[in-house]
Amino acid sequence: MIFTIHMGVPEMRALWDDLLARGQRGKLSGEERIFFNKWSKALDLLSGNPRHPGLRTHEIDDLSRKFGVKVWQSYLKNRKSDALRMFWAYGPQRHDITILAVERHPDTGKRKVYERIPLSRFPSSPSRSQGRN
Amino acid sequence: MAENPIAFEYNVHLDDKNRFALRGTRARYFSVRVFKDNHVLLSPQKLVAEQPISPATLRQIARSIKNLKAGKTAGAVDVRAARKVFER
Repeated sequence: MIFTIHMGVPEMRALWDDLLARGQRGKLSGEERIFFNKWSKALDLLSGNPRHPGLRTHEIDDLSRKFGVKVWQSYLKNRKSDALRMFWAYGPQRHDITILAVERHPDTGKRKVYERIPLSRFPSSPSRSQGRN
Repeated sequence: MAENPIAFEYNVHLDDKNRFALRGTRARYFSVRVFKDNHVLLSPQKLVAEQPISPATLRQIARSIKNLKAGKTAGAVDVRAARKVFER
């Protein structure tokens, strides 16, 4: 199922139009280009499958209760400490998704929901190396 | 990588519901990787607090939702056109 992406008004639409226009003219700064690349990639994934594992989509219950609309969060960036996020809701029509907000700058010093503990090298088991289970 | 000494090892078998008891670990959450040669690697994880949403982002969300509920939308965006910017 393909979803049509809409931008929330006014900020999201203005941001998208500005980045797209300047991107097509080659007028984006280095940082803007990186952000716009990640955002458009994430939107491409979102339109094809909002549950794509790369997006780590989940509902923000507090915001859903507050606004009376299911508010979802998806990550633009993954596996880094400075993960960027976008917030969206289904609608206005069926098979539509409206982008409500996007974080352009990561909060420094914050961490992901899950942190992987680094692994060390595993030695071979002496009993296994002798052919016993 | 540094050597990781084995604390202890034991043999298990799966029950009828594909479960076995995990003993001797202090972690409660794991990520699981199953390899094609049937090795299973359990990596301990810890839960950390997700970063809070900034006030500016919350204001954006509120305005977007207010307009969405009022039927004010700007029409569909062309994501493919944006991807073409980076295909050059």
